[in-house]
Amino acid sequence: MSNEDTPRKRTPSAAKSGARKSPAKATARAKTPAKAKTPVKRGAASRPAKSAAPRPSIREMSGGATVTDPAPTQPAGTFGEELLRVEHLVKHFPVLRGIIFKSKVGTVQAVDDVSLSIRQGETLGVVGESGCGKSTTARTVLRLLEPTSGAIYYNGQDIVKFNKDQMRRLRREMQIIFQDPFASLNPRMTVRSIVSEPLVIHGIYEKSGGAKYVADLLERVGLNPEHGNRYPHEFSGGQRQRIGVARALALKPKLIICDEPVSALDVSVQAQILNLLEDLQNEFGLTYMFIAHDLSVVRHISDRVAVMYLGKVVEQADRDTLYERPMHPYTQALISAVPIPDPQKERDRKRIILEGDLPSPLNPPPACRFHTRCWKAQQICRDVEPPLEDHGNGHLVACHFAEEAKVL
Amino acid sequence: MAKDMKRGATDMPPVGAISDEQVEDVLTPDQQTMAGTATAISTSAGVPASTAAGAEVALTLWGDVWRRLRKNRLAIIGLGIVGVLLITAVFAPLIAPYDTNDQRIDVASRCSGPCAPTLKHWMGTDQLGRDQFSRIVYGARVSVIVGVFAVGIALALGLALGALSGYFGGAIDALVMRIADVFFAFPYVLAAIVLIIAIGQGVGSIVVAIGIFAWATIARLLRASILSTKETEYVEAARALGANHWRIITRHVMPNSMAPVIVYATILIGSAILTEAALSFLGIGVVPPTPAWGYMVNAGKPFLTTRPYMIIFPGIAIVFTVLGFIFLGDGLRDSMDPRLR
Repeated sequence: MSNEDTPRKRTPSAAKSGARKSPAKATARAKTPAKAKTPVKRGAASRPAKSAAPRPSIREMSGGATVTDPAPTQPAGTFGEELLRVEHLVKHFPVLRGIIFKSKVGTVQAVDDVSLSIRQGETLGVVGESGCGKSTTARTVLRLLEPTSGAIYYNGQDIVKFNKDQMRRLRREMQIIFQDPFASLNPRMTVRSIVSEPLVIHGIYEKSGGAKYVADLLERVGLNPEHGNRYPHEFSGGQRQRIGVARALALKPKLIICDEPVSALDVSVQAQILNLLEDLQNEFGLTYMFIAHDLSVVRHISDRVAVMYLGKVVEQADRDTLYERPMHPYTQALISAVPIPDPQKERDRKRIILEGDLPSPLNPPPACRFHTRCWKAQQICRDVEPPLEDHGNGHLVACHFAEEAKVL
Repeated sequence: MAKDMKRGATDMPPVGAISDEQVEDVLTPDQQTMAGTATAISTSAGVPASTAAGAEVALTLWGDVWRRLRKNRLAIIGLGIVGVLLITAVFAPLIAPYDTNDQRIDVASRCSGPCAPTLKHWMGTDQLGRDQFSRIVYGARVSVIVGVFAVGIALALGLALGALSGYFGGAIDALVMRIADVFFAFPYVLAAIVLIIAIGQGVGSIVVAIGIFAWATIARLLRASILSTKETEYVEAARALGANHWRIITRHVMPNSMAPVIVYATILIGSAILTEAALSFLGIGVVPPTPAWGYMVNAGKPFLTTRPYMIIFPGIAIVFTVLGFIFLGDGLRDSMDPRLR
């Protein structure tokens, strides 16, 4: 991933990036002590400024000239209010034994104390290996799964406490796009009935314009409205994913959770769907929580990225910071595996290869969950769980030995 | 590596042109003409369709099933037999040459019992001089009534309880399945006999007895099928849209879980007809003057060695009817099973 193509990549969403003046986090988590020392480190690790850096404020910060912290008080740039905040979300699945007399023999700690926040109009990427709890987090946020504990604030209201009726109304605000376009569409329904179903469910089919609206929707996602009478199996993977996008869009939601929406698609089709998602975001002011395991895809589409490992968020930062100056060893290892489309650079750089396998979430390692595979692990990592701490400018890292490294 | 290629693909088009133009580019051929569309889809659908063979499913459930059933010779034979049975039952008065209760003592006494087949009575007459063919034609009515209504009762109970059990799970599931276990534990025919003795003889009693003891299998089949269907992403999508349970069950879960039940119900019709014949043969089925195949076999029992045509003709009727339903059911299974597609 060379520097040159980064600005170009973002050009389609020029409106968005142009408006993105200060990506600084509006979180109160920012800690001044951490700030005080980071500029020095930053300066050392700072990379040559990009020609069209979309985030000048970061550059200034890393220059170390000012330590004035814009984050805590200033509202966060262009992305409006905080739309979704997940606090200490826990989802455990009991492992039962027996048929009639069930006894609990274990707990899969799929999601363990995850905190995230997404602002209006923003795209939060969530990356991690298979089984690290990305999808469980997504489904719990939508309350398709009931959280074991924790709070999910949508527009300031804790939706975990919502009753059935409130939840039903909330469904118009948040939708999901699934990974597998072959499994996520009912094979016995026509495209038209799939896309109009959300409207029918909420009793607004006629009000929203009925068949005309559905046809417009299909056209907007790049499908021929005349194909409304066809069944999902008559379409290709990319086209089916467009149907899924149209369905998610039908209720004009504010937040769309994309659960690996392109992972099942051909590479060329992935780009089309990503472009579609970006266009729709600009057009409708959508907010995305974008889950993926493809780091390049996440880098392309996200404004901010959270890295998950075994049910926990280990690092969270805005996109460029995370990719260019990752601080958590796990993130560094992940990013060092992203191929660079420049053979010279690719040959020169160091790959970090992790030892061992992903531990079972049934019995995760104590304290820092990454210590079994970490080359930096010390005794403290086995004894004390590292908190997710702000290492400056909203760069959250959960590591005792967090340290910037250039791996790309 | 995939990531690399993906990046390449993303970065290929000139700046600023990526979004709208690219999307449009890809789609214009689609949107131009219907003919162009058809080819575009068939070519682009080729790859994903073959990689996910199981996902290539019906136009409509029945349209697709019929397309594949047509190619199955045995199933078509079964369908033919079932068709003949239904026509016979409905138009029995037009087909039967004689009244079923027309007792011809003169005929019976001339043959000293059942007469052998002749041109006038081509399946012979019974010990009371009644025309066997007419009785078999009318016997089809009993069979069809028992088959359809008994399976109807079983389906009504089985679908409702199976859907509840499979979809909601938990305590409801445990309760329904334990009740089903109790029904499984009864010997089927024996339980039917007890029930018929309790509520009295007749076609209605047989229907109830068979229906009540057959629902458990249907409930189990549907439950098992729903357990896998309800975990699919399209059901999850419906939940995310705010659909209520009724809508999810009727629109999403049931249509995609019914295939094994339809197959079983078809075979169950044959088996219900067989059970009715067995009960009638034992003398606790249909009340005597009503013509029923099992009862006719029973009546022919004393003449088994001397006049086997008494048993052969109703026996053939039973065997072919049951076989017809089994062939049809088997054919349906083959054309509905996604794994065999």
